[in-house]
Amino acid sequence: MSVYTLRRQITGELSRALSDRFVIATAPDHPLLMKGPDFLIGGNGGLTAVLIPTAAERRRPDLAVARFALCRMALPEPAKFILLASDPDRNVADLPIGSVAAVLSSENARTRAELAGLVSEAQRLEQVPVPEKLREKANARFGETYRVARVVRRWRSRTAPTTPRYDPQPPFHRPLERLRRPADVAGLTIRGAQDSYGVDGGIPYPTGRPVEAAIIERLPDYPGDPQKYLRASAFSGWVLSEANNPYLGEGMRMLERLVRP
Amino acid sequence: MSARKARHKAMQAIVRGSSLYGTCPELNHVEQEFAELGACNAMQPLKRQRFLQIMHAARALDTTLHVVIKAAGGAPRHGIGKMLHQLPSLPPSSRGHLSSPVATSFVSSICTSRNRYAHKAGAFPTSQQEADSLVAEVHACVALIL
Repeated sequence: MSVYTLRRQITGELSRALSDRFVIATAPDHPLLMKGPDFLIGGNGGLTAVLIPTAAERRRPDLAVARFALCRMALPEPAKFILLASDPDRNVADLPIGSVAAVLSSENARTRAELAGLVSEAQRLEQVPVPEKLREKANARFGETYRVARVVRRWRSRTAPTTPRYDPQPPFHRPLERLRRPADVAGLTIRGAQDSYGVDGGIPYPTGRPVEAAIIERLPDYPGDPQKYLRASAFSGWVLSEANNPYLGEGMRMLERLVRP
Repeated sequence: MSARKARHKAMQAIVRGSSLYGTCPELNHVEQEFAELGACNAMQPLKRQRFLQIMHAARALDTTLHVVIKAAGGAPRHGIGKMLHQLPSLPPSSRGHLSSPVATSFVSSICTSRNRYAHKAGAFPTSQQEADSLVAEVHACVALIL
């Protein structure tokens, strides 16, 4: 069964089982995530994120771990995570119980029916909390990276006196990540998460990877959220810029001075 | 589902799922302000639609900041910018704590635009992109502090 079919079924099941005190967001568009949880359910003072591994994540569990790490850092700490996996793949994401609050079978309708019960009392689920210092570190990196990404974009559309000098020798640590189209930004954020976090016992520990630059030929606005590509990239450790922006190098130099790995 | 609806639902879930939702009735109003963003879509002329979207988003953020700072034991100052600058000094373990770089980023992306339209007579957002940008920054900030 495809993830999309499963989502439709579960949306119906949850809508019937939960009262209207709960809001069920299917494939929610979180402002910091290109690839967020499959469901975000809020109500009764609790927030639950449900993850359903995609076919690609079943083939490569490291992708599922990266998505989990980003979601954990983006969502509030009290948010509980439930993994809905097919029986052969219950440990697909290498996320044992304790790191996520619960693992349920997506194929068994009866165990899937437990989902509503768990969601309605999410505060009772046990999950290892992310230490405050880790969140602070991740958020500080996001704040500086996003600021620089926006400034670099603004420099391109304006002229002096605030625009810096053009420097053809940018301080890039390795070859730039080149994207072909906006749909590639989602994969970029996952790669950023893979390099930025090492998940151990359900906790995403920052690896200290420096922020890197990625370029794309044309960067359109995301529907309804013009800065989303920049913001989500920054959250996973990338300054995203259009390929012909000559000020990217200066922006990365500015970021090096601001962000301590 | 369109991106706007998916965003609205996500924000609704985040607000409803906050541990403060049951104890702070003001968060009901925050949810309503976010709902008004969608209700504005049919409004004419466009400049009024965009202006109201910015105002509803700003009010949602203002109230959220108020709630979060009070819940952490702080005394909310007057104004979105001042309250954003208070967030780094909240206890790190409390909801609403933001690091300085993030708070500064949101001050720059939200307050300048919002203040221009809230205070200057005759000023209206010149494009839907401008209104959408500010609303989305408010969404990101609320998602991080609730």
